[in-house]
Amino acid sequence: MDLRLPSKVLEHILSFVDSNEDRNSVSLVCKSWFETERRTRKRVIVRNCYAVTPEAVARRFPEMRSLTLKGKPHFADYNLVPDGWGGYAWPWIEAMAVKCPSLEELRLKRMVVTDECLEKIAASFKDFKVLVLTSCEGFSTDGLAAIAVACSNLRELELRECIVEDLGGDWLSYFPETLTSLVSLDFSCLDSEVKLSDLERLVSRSPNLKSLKLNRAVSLDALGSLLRLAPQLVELGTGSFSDKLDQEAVSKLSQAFSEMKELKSLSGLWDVLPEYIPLLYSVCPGLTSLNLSYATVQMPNLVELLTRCSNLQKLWVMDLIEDKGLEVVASSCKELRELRVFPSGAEGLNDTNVAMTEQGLVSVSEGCPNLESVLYFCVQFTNAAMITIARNRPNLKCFRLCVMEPFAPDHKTQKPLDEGFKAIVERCKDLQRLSVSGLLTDKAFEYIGTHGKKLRMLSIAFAGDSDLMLHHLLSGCESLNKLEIRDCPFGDTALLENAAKLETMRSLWMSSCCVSFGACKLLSQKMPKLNVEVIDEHPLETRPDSSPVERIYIYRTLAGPRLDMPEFVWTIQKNPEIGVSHLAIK
Amino acid sequence: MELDLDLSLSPHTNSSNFGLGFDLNKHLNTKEKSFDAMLGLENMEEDCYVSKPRSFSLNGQSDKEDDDPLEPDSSVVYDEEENCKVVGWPPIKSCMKKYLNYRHRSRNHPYHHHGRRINISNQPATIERGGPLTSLRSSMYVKVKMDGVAITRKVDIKLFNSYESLTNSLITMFSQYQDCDREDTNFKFTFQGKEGDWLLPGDVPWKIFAESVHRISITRDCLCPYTRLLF
Repeated sequence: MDLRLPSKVLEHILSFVDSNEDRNSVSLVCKSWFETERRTRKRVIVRNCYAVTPEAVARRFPEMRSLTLKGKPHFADYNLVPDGWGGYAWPWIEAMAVKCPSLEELRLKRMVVTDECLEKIAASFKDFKVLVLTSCEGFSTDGLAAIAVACSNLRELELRECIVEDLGGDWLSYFPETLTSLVSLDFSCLDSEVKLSDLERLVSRSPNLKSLKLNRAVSLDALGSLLRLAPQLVELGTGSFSDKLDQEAVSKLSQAFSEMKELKSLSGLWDVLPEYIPLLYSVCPGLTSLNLSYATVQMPNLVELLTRCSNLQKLWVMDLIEDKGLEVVASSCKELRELRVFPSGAEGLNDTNVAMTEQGLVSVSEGCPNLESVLYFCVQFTNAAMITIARNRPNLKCFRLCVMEPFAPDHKTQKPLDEGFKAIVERCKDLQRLSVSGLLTDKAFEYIGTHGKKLRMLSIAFAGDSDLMLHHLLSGCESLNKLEIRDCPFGDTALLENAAKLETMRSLWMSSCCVSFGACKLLSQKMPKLNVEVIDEHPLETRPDSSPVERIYIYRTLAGPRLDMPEFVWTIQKNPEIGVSHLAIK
Repeated sequence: MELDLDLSLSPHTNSSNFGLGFDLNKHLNTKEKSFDAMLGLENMEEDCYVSKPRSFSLNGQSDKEDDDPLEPDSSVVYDEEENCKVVGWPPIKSCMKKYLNYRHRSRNHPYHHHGRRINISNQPATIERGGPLTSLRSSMYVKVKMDGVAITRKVDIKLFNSYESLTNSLITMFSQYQDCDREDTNFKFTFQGKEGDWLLPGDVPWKIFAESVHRISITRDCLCPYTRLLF
């Protein structure tokens, strides 16, 4: 008796399985389930573009409609990955153009995207709807024009923190009059001014527009007329908020804001002048997300705004908010889930706001029961504060503390911050992401290895004493997926002893540590399923095995060595004849 | 330049049991070496807080306008991408760093600049492409429209460091395409800033100009046959 479900029935059942994690499990059941699942998967996410080839992905998921790709390692955001390392979108777009011409959505993060890529997208995918580029680079506004002119069903075009060669604002004028499907437009990272009349016409003919994020060049005056055309916006990123307006223009703008009944997310607000803060009062009660990273007003103005934001769930703000302001957040924003506080000083240490200390974060941890994600830049911190925070908020999922002074101890006791981080990992049992900083010894990492069982991503800088540190982490953190380390005295032994662990992780980044060239070679030989990349500006051929390398990036892959490596990236496949000489490992 | 590694060496120098025997002293040396190597600053003066020189024009010469006391000192070099002493620290994304530096510069009068100023002697400097220190430096292309020429050209302002070098290059560029004797021609340059106002060369200091220029227009008054037909 054949007990198998007919594939049509299985397909129907699987159409209700949405999450990729579940679908991955489904595909492991048996061959027929694997087949049915792969033929019906619409949304594919590849979190390391070098882990698998584009052809393999296209072959496995022929009905793919949405593809998400990530390229460079996270530390590329902080200039630690040299230009030209890789992460090219072209091979993916080229392959999909042939094999998946029905592709509708492309989301790329930290990849190199050229104008040719954008032109290829515009020419190849007839029903293209969504393009979201995050922290990408390599293209110009000409490429945007190509997308605008050709994608007649475009719904989303979002450029988040991209580095774009800005040839002017003409690109916006290329959206045809027939395009009425726009739902989201984000050009906040561009510098040039777009033609206001074209923008207004685009907005007026887009009844489904829900999200509009303008660039700084859009004046406050222009904002008024845009808001009147799109009062239905759910997400708004303003342009510059500092032009001088006359009384009539101000009251018109105020009126426009008060008409925006659906607004949930507000950002932009570049250089906002204190006298314009009241313009925002009418939308505050409805806001769930507020990004004040560029709002350079002082604490009293910020407080006026935040007392009115009782439904706020996500707040990004500069340290201009100070401890006092964070106390207000703690008492007013009871729904807060995510807090990010950025430094306001241009010179890093010297300029930062000293009226913001660890106390600010402690207040928020006391007052906001749903707080689960924190990114906090601060000059110094204390163990006591972290212990209190951990006690208050065992539900933390993401804790990223950046004590800006490297090696800074607890400023009250002068001890390392080991005990503080111990409290965090011990109490916050669901902690998935952790960034540590300040003075830390190997003990801190012993605690993290012992307690951080759900930890998936860990970032470390200027910490620890020895190899033990890395050993604790690799042997203890069972769920570890991404580990990135800079300027720590980790060396060969821990890496080689825990080599097998690396196959269970997505990637490991180490820069300015103490990993020797010989260890890299040995690791490459031992672990053929990993790409072990040595990224070093100085030629490696003549290096002795004992000399430390500048950076290593290790990731598991099914694709084998990549073919697009620049000169300064070495893998063992490049020089297979270099043998591994006398590296004694016990 | 040194990062101040103010560590107490006492209780935390546990050597590893693996026989590699790291002690903090060795650790410090390695670190310092790697900082210096990373920053390529072996020969820089102690006091400077800038780690990357900006690119200068292809001529390599800095402008004589430096002598004007009211003008921002163009021998003090800022790198927009760096706001700290160590590469990538504190870990802030480049768009935010760019904004913080812009805000910092516009708030401070050049003579009362926060921190110490340095004078780097006027030597030509180039950005290494593809080195560990370079972050992607966006060029700044502006449109150049010359009278009587149908096609607008584009030029990267960041390649120049003075009005003279810019105008000379533009004249050279256009002369290649027009049958116009550049000796006989009287070129007039006007620049449009972001606010829409039109300026003449020298109206604003070069640095400010380079940040805010939006468009360039060239009119010419020459004796070539084409224009003779027009007038």
